[in-house]
Amino acid sequence: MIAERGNVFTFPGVNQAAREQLFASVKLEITLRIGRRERIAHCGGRRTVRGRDFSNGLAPFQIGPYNALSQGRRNRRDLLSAAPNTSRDLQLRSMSETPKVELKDPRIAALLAFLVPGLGHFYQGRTLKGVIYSVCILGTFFTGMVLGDWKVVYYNWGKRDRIIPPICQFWNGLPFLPALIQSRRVALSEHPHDRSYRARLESPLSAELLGELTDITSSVAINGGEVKGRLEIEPLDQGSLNGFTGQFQGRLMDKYPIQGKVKGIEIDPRVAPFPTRRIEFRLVGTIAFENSDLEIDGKVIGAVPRSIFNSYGAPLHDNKEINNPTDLEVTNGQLGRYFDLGTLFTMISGLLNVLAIYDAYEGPAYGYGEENEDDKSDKPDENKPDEKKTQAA
Amino acid sequence: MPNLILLGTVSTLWWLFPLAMVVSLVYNTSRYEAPKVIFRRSVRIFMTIVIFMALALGFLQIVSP
Repeated sequence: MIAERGNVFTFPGVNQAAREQLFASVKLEITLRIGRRERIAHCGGRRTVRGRDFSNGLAPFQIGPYNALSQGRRNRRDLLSAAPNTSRDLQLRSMSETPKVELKDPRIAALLAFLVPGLGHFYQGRTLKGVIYSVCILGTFFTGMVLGDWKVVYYNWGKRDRIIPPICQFWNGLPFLPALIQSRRVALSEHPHDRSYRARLESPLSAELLGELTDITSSVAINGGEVKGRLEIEPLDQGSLNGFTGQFQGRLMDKYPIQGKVKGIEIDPRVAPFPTRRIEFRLVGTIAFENSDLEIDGKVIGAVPRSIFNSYGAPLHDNKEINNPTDLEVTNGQLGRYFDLGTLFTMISGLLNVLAIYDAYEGPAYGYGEENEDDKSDKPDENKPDEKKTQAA
Repeated sequence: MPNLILLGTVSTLWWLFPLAMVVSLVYNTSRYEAPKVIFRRSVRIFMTIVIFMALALGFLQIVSP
């Protein structure tokens, strides 16, 4: 019955008498039928609906004392704010008691809701909704992260191997945004995923090492074993492939003090979604063995901790030309279906936050708090048997 | 030979319950403002989702060889 053209509503078929009735009912709520959808326009005495009468040569007319549509999108939002429809094409009912939701500045609320699910609603004073959104959405997101061993949220910058999950996960806001930074950091590095290259240490490395000492050459036969201690490495020249200087000091098998210079270091990239960073080097030094210092030359394979700033949101690569199997294949093999489940959870939480953002910006889709809490419309089926009985009678 | 669909997916299926609960709760929270309406409709949609999923699983169970 009523069609929308831009910001102007046309009312084909509304005759003069009906129009006058509408004019007289400016403090009313009107159900608009737009295509197959129906909306209730709030015309609470301070807004105007403009229209053109198709039955009268497209003569313009308006309802209400003020020009609502010229006040921009916010009034249009109010005008088209939806409510549960009834079967009537034109429904008039009093709006005087309709409470409105205070959205404050919707743009700020939407931004806050995007950054942290629920924060926009706290800003608007809608505490219960804020609690529901934050608990549900953040809970779903971090449940997915735990299920996926904190490897399911990432973005491969400039690559097309994984597009849809990040699009959905992006709407989680701050919990996802580090993934963009990490992917950029990886993309900017020269050998982003190659584990076999000699690492470029951007900064000195000082960390606790836990590893295995093997291939020992010494004057006395020494079996290898677990080594634990402090590793200090420093690039002689920043970005250099070979110019390292460093030393290790620790204990072999928690018993024999060992120390020496480290050479030929190979180390994992700084940014990767793993809690430790694999490292391999030659250790040339001494070991205190039975009251004497023995010279040794051995190979150490171990790992140093990776900071959360270098692991959270870091991308899993899926390029067999670099490593085979790829990080993605290895992780899939380890996690199995939980990798997919974690990805699904984080995607769904992002999509749910879209609803929260829209709610913060536009208000609830249906009902502004004026809905009847008893909500008798919840029980439409109870009336149907009565109608049938009546008809039968 | 017994059908192993349920046995093979039982652990994953449990995750669908909290997921369905969250989806129904957030969806209705975005539609309504009154708490009672939100919770009542959330319960209803949650039940709908669970029943639908159960029917779908039952159907797959039947048609799988």
